[in-house]
Amino acid sequence: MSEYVEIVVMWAAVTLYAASAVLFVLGLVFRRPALITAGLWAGSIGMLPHLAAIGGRWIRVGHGPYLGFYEVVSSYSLMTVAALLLITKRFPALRIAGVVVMPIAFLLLGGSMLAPKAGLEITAKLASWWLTIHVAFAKLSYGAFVAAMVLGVVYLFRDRMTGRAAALAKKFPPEAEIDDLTFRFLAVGFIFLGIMIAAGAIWANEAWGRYWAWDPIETWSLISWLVYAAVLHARLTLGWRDRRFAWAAVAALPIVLFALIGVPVVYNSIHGAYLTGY
Amino acid sequence: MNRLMRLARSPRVAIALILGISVYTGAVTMVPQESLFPVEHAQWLVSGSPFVRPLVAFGFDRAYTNPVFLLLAAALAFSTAVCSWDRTRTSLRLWQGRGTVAPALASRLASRTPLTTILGDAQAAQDVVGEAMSSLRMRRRAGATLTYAERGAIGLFGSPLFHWALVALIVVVALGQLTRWEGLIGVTQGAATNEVASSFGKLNQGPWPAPHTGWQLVVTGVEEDMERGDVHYGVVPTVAVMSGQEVLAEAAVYPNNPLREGPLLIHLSDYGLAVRVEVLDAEGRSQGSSSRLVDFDDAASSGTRPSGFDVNDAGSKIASVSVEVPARDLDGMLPRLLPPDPVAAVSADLSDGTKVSRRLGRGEEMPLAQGWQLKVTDISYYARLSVVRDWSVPWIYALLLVATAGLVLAILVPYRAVWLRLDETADGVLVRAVAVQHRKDSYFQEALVEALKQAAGAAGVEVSETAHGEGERA
Repeated sequence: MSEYVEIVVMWAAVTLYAASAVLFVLGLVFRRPALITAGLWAGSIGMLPHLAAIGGRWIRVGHGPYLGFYEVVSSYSLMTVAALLLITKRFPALRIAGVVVMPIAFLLLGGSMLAPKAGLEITAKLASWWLTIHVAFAKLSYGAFVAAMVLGVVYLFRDRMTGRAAALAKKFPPEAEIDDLTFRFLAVGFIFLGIMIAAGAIWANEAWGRYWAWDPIETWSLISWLVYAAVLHARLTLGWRDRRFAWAAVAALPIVLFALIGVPVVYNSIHGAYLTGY
Repeated sequence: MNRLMRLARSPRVAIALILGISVYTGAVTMVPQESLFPVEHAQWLVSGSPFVRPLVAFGFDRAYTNPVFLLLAAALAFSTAVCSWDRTRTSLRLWQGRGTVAPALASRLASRTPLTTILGDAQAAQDVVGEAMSSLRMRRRAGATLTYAERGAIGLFGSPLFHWALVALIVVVALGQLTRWEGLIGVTQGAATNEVASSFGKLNQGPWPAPHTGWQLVVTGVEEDMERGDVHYGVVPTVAVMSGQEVLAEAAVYPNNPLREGPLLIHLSDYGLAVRVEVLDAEGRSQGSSSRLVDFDDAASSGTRPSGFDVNDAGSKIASVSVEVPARDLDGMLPRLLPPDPVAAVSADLSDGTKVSRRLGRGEEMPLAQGWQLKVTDISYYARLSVVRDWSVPWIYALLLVATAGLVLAILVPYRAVWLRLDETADGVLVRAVAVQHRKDSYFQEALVEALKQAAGAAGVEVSETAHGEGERA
């Protein structure tokens, strides 16, 4: 796939995600389930050109989507939509979560389209299987945390709605079930994040001769892990459940987002090249 | 002491410590760290910012050796150790008590409101309960009136394993930092350099550094444009580790392909050019030779940064010499390669006040003061190797693996056990239950009732839905 075709295909995905976001919001505002279904379809169909563009680029540039803002953020957008589809496949009643997810996915993908799209070559330091494992688990952990955050939002929505909105909220799975599912996604994301950090440490030792240097990205990844550790600890030892746990799942996500996307932009770091180019 | 232990046991304290370390490490990322960004740190010191003085006074520019951080980490390690100990005891108690019915449990079970009533005889009820347990993937041990079923017993040890691995990880990392050393050493192509402290240009070490090996590091060859697959590695040296005449290990060293030998881990940090010079006295006798390491420098007109040294005769200076290697090509570009016919640009300030500059090829000489000569014997590459001795790394990897395994066990294999008491009455068989479950799923009770209903339905037995008790959370 040429770069031109890739960009055209990617814009198709952006358009479908935008349409999906609009349909979800309209579906919620006007309480039309058909619009919500249409939003889910638009998001699902949008994943196809998105996957095709990422796959085509992978073949063309010879590496996965982990070099440069465009590749990295676009792949996180894909993981966001994938998380939504995973949740709605298990619990169709949670389709309404698209109201939160699809605008995020659209903004991420749209934002990535504004970045330079020239393919960056794999440098000697990046040529490692540990990098592949590191990146794969970063994306998986992000997907799991986004899913946990979305479930947290759904829980709070179901919990707080009164009047006519409450009738809509009652269509969701029971609160206890959403709460447990939030815990599961958060716990799995915590495992994935731990593996990501461990794989990164091993890779750093192979590439630079040190497993940890308190580089800002390393530090913020550790902070993300610690914050989620605190949230899980609070649930398992202090009995944080339900509303409090939902709030924690929502509040923790910005930290992981900052670690993955914000830190390379804010800090000067040898690590930042993956997002800002080198 | 008791109070300290109570504090260490407190989940709130543990969470506060975790968040305290998070806030501390997050905040200090805003301060240029001396060890991580030495250039930025030096610029920051003279930036005139009003924050510089207080932050430096409290050592926040050396944040990870700061007592505040060390204290927080030590407190977290202690709290985790106490927590691990408690978890281990609880897990062992639950493991050993699996299936047994303590008097307290028996009386609790007897007094519990029935979960459901199976409208059939005792045998039918046993079959229904057995089927329900199977559908919940719980292993059953049935008695006449009591049935015990469990799932994920191995998961009991997940949490202790994870927490002990974390404690060990903190201890091993700390001990490793005390004894590890890491340094940069320049090794000229074709020459041997001893791995001793004095050979290192830069050496960072803990307070109790492990000893140096005294082995020789030799760059036996250099490949100028190495490619593996689609990846260009550029200039790659082949490094040998030798003990006397014995070659212990030899390999091309490039990123992600370090050379490991014994306790040493050797990486390529950078490379440059080396000019080997020999100083001859007025009688033509050699007064010593050395390798001058010349680094590439985009800002320099020659493309390399000069390397300077003094030539002395019994304490009196003969000359101050500066050596560089013009490395730009005809277009003025800097390919960062050894030129095809390399020459060294040598300039010397002589003791008699005159200045001499020459371009010397291999084997060429230039005069210094008092009849002394400077001879360039070779111009080649040198490899700047990063050498690390850190015994803790394989242990850290192993502990990360154990911690991950523990976490996976704890989260993905949650322990669940249930004691069911079946009492035959005129209305049917009353089913009472007490459950122990680590994850404390709030809907486990519903799942249990649902499984009983499903199993009864499949067996053609009716279930009364009027009596519902509560499963117990442990």
